[in-house]
Amino acid sequence: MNDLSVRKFYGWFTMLGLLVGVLVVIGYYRDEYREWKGYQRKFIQEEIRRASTPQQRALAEQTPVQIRQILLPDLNRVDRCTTCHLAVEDPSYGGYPQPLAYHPLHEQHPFERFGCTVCHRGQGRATTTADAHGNVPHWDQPMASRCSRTAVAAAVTNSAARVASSGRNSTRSAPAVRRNG
Amino acid sequence: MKAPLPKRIWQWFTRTRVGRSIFRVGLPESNLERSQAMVSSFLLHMQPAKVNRHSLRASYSLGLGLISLYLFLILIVTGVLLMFYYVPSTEKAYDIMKDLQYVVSAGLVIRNMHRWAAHLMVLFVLLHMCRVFYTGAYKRPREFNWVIGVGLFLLTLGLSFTGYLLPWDQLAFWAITVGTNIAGYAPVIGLKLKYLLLGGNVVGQEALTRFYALHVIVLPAAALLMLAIHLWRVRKDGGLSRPDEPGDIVQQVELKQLPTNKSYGLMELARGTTPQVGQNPEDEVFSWPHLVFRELLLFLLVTAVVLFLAIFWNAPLEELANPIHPPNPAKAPWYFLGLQELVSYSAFWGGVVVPGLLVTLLMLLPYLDRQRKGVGRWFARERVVANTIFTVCLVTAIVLTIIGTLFRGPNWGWVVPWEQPPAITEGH
Repeated sequence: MNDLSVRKFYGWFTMLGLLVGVLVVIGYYRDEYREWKGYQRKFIQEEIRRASTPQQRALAEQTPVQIRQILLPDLNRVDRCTTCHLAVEDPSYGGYPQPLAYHPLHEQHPFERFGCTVCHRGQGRATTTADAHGNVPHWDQPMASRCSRTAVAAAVTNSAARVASSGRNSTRSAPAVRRNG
Repeated sequence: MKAPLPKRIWQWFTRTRVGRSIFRVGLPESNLERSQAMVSSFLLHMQPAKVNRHSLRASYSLGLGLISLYLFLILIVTGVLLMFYYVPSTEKAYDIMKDLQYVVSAGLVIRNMHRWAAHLMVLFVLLHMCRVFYTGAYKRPREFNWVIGVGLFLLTLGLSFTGYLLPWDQLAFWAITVGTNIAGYAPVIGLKLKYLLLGGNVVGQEALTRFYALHVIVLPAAALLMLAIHLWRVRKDGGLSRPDEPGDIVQQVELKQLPTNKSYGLMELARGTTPQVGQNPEDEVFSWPHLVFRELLLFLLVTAVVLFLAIFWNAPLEELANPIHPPNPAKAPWYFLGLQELVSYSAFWGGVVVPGLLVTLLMLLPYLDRQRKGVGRWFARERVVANTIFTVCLVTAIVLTIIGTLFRGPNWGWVVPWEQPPAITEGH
């Protein structure tokens, strides 16, 4: 105890400092490298692969990796499904595996008016597969991958009535899909 | 031997004009500089230049008070960050929790840190109180600091309880409903108190607004003020308690008995237990580095533990609050589950008399227990009666809390944890 040198503390400071540092790095990694970013990068790679002109390629390369969401204030919803399902409006992606598959007949129920979870349920605000598809505790509306026609019709009619009565439309914070050329 | 690189960089910086203007004293090399480092720094001057060896023993204090303080600091920092996003609205609060989890950078880990640090703070303030009791550290001259400490414990519970409602999920809604119902059992003022807390008869927007204001302004300000007084008194009462305080001997000396051929300054009129009086220099070491470095190391350890919990375990978030679908059973926050268990036997005795009596006894404890012996030692023989009574109360509270947490299922019936069914939500 009479030793006034601070040298004996170096080992502890190094060990605990490294521990905090490693935890900060792990925390940063888990926060920064999210599941949806991987899907968006795959989509961008696919767009680059399919580009037939330099302009299309440049446009694809400039596609930002960011959260994409459809804001539906009248329906009290925020649907971020298009953060991963980037090609839902592009028929050329018909037959692709999820999450890059095309959504047929979407013109009848435009995403910008109705979003996704009105028909498909799930958790619109979530950005991980399990949470967004609602297969998690404390979310009582798991996603229905194929809704029955009556369920869709009821949901759409109900939502359309609410949209029509309010006279307002949704807003999109970012385009769901950047179109090529 | 050549000094390590960080030390050389620090020495260089503190010798520059900018470094000297900030730190005044460089890296201390002499005893004078070690004292100056403590006295000339705003943060460090709250502590004495020299500290008793006994206070540094980890086996004595276990660092529990300091850990509680660090958790409070972590809660302030993470709480302010959460305030940048949070809106105390029943329409938005739950959605913001989801946004913190899914789209706000570092939102999830900050919320997790806040949640786990809050639970840990309740636990560590309680443990700190137990340490002070079992070492008899509440005795003269520290009686009133114990009372302030009990107040800080109640404020900690209040901070945690008010924060519990803010996510506005089922867990929050029904825990606060149960918690405020317990408050409503108090005679005469119970229902008024409940109405005052909730701004109505049920948990709703008014309750959320009030709990938010209490959580971010009123209770933290009160806690900071009381914490400042608590730490100030620790310093003024001669640091941490220790066996056979020399201050007690000095107090017996009356001023008129002192030699008259010397003029006395104000310090001579100070109480006998001030840090400077009656302490053997051989029992003391310089706070720099012995105390300051230990404190920093403990801060790193607490930060690491909270970060670890926050990274690997998410704070709970259930379904959106639904006033017409109560879970069965609806449970209060864990630290009130002992009370809830008692309330299940008798609302009046369990919800009012027992907790009221316990808090009153805790507050009056240093004035009821007048025995001067057994201070500064764990489980001193002289204190066997007091320690036994306290232990019985503590174990009873722990057992009741464990029963309420793990062994109570639907309709508050008995269940065993490994066969416990999930809470039933009525109306589904």
